[in-house]
Amino acid sequence: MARLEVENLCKRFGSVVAVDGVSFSVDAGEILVLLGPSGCGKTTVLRCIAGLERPDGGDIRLDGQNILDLPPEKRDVGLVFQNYALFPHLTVEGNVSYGLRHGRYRLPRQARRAKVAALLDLVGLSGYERRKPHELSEGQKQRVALARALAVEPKVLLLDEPLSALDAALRKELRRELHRILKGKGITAVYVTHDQEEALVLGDRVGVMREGKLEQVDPPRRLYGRPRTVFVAQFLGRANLWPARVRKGEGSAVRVEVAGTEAVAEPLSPVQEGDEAFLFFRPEWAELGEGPFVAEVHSAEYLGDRWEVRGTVQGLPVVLHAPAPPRGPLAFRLRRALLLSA
Amino acid sequence: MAEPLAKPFDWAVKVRGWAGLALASLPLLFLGAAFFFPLAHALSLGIRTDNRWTGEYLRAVLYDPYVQHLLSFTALQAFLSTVLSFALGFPLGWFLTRYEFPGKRLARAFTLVPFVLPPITVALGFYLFFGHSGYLNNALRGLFELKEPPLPVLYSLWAVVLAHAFYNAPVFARFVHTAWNSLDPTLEEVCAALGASRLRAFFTVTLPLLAPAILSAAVLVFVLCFLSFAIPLSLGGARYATVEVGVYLYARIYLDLPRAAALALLELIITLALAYIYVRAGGFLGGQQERIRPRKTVLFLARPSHALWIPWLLITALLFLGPIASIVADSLSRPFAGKAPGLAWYAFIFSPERSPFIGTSPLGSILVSLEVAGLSTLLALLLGLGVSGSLRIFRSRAVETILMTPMAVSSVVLGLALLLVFRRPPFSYFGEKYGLVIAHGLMFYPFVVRIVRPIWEGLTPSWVEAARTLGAGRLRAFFTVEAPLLSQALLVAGAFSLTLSLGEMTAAAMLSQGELVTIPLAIYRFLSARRFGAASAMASLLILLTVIAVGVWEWLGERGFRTYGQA
Repeated sequence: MARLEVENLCKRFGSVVAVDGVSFSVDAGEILVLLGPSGCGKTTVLRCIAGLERPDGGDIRLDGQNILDLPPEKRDVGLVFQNYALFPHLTVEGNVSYGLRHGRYRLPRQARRAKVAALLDLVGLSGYERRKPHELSEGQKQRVALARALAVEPKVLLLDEPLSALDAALRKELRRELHRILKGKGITAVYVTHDQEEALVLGDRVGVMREGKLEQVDPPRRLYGRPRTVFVAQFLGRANLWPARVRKGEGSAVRVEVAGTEAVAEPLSPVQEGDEAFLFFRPEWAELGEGPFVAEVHSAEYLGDRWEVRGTVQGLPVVLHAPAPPRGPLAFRLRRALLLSA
Repeated sequence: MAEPLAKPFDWAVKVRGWAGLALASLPLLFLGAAFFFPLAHALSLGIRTDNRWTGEYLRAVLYDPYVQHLLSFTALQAFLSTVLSFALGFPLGWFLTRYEFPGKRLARAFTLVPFVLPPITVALGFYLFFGHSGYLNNALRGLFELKEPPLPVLYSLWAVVLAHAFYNAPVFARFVHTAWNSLDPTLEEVCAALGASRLRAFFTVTLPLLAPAILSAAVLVFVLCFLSFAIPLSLGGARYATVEVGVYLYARIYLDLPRAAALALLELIITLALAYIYVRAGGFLGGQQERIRPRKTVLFLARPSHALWIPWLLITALLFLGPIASIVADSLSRPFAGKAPGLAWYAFIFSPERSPFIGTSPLGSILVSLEVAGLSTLLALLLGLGVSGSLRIFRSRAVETILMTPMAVSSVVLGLALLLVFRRPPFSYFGEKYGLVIAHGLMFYPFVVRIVRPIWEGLTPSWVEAARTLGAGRLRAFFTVEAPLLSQALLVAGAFSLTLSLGEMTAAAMLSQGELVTIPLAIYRFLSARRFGAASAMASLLILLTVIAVGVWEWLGERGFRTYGQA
């Protein structure tokens, strides 16, 4: 269990800036999820922490100690790879015990056996010791990869899109199991994914990355409920973003001019009268029935527990949730809205 | 981009970086010491005298009528050999591509055999089969009751050319077969749909598309024949000698080192030019083409017209199997001390008694061959692995060219270079044997690189990364992850290198001294002394080893070296 700090991390490949001044910290026992579209630099951050890439600048500290100059094998950092990277010439047991035989945490034969057995039991693969990787299903490979990384008891576990190769149903099942195991062992973890649902379920805190920069790091509910940038608002869940102009700005409720009418919104940063900004609200923040806004409905999708309605308000696109298929225009008011700077 | 923090560089990091670079430079250093330096030293003898540069020897060599004869003969026989190899090999490639028949896999594997078969065994086989009192002439004489041998091919230019064709026709067959199989069969169907006859389609579409493969095979075969040593030496003598034989004669028989060096320099220039042409023409064997529909094959003799192939097949079989079968037959049938031999010739070659014909005991010869082959294979594997590893770190064309240069230097020149080094202190202390080990290591590590490197490059990088995040250092990760995954390729490369070393005669002849008489040299000396039974028994031993190596190669190759995709 350890505290990981990343400060002002920079990495470029040739002229491409992959990571651009990323800072965050992960407390002991905490799971931090780095979320972002592919190519946003999240995997590079992970590889820098693991020591597989050398950053061009910045600091990485584990329990206050700088690990930047340590080679990967001396960092006490575990990594679960996206493609699992199981050694094809070794059995499940050989894979899981690799670090215990050749790594930084060596054990005598008997103790190794016991430890591997315990780990395989933990990931539900007892009895698979003699199998080779090519004889395993994708989900089983994933479990072996996790057990292998856990075997050496790293201070920090890094997981690089560990579930992305699995089909949807298995992904959900393994996600729950992963959460149980990580929390059960109280492991400090950094988890990289592009799947927002995964991020919200697994992360104690979630950091959203975009083009090499970390836009916001917050607990999932806060990230969803109070996104600080337009990108974060759009990347996570359904978002309505309308251009707005501040009429009277002060405190936690300002009046804005939007969609030909007026609304009250909470600004996330200080604003002045006349500022251009975005009015932001989630579909579930809109209360259907009556109100200043009227949406023309273009399409409605049935999602089982609700209908997701798409349409326009004064030419501005809008997404709403309705309990029944809408007939005709929908009037609504906003229970809650945020003002995001443009 | 945010301003990076000033990054204090730790000494440990620097030293680790240097250690990696130093390790990656080891092959370069070794080649510098064991190859480039001796080569430069040897060649300088041809252009320096009394510490000044001179063109004297070069001029003398160039104007020497004997050398002119050597050069023109070498080029002529290489040209004729290439043409004959093509004439024999192309139909074979065609046959393998078009027809299905029982034992096809075996036939295809057999096309590899001449490539690794020691040249001296081919020469011996030709003596025994085509010789004036060889199996073929004797059979024909008996059949037609003739007095004179009806096929006096031996002791002529044609003996050399025919032996080279035996050697290299399979190269053509293999190139053509591979290229043809990677042609999209749709193209020929399009020709038919457009109304072209089969013959026309062949000449207007198929042949032009095969041309690059044929051309690169032709250049390769020309180079191999140009650098041929054992066959012209034993079948041609001084009259039909090649440049390789010339350098050997000057260095080892006439003991005229400056001339040998000047001729070697001349030869090196020619071979480098040929190697350049080969690399430029060799585009064909480069990348793997996209997957295409497999070509339809016809069961052989499914139609009566196929019978037209039969005479050709018989002649081909006679040419290829005759010499090899003759050797085995001779070793089992030639009278030993006036009696039927049984396995007496085999007992003889394992006897520790000194034989005056070869200057050492046959057993000693076998043992020294095994020692040289074992050590040089070890060296070739280490060097091949080191070079493959270096090329993963130094990704530059220039380094690759330097690291692969030994491929472009002929065996006689290499032998000459190492001979001169190992004759003088401090290396004379070790003896020429280790010179030969180094020569063979240098000659065969490029094969190791060609086999091992693509597989190493194909390994997923995350395997090593996983090992390292689990706490294994870089070297440990190599030995526990990469090395096991490369072991099959190394096994094949090792078997290959071992066989080639056991059969190599050129460098061995250059470096031979006292007890250092390898198996091929012993065969050559037995052959020269007309001691055929002993020569045949030893050659049979070499053939057996070669067949085993080819078997290992084909067997593991068939399983694709288990290249391990994503696991």
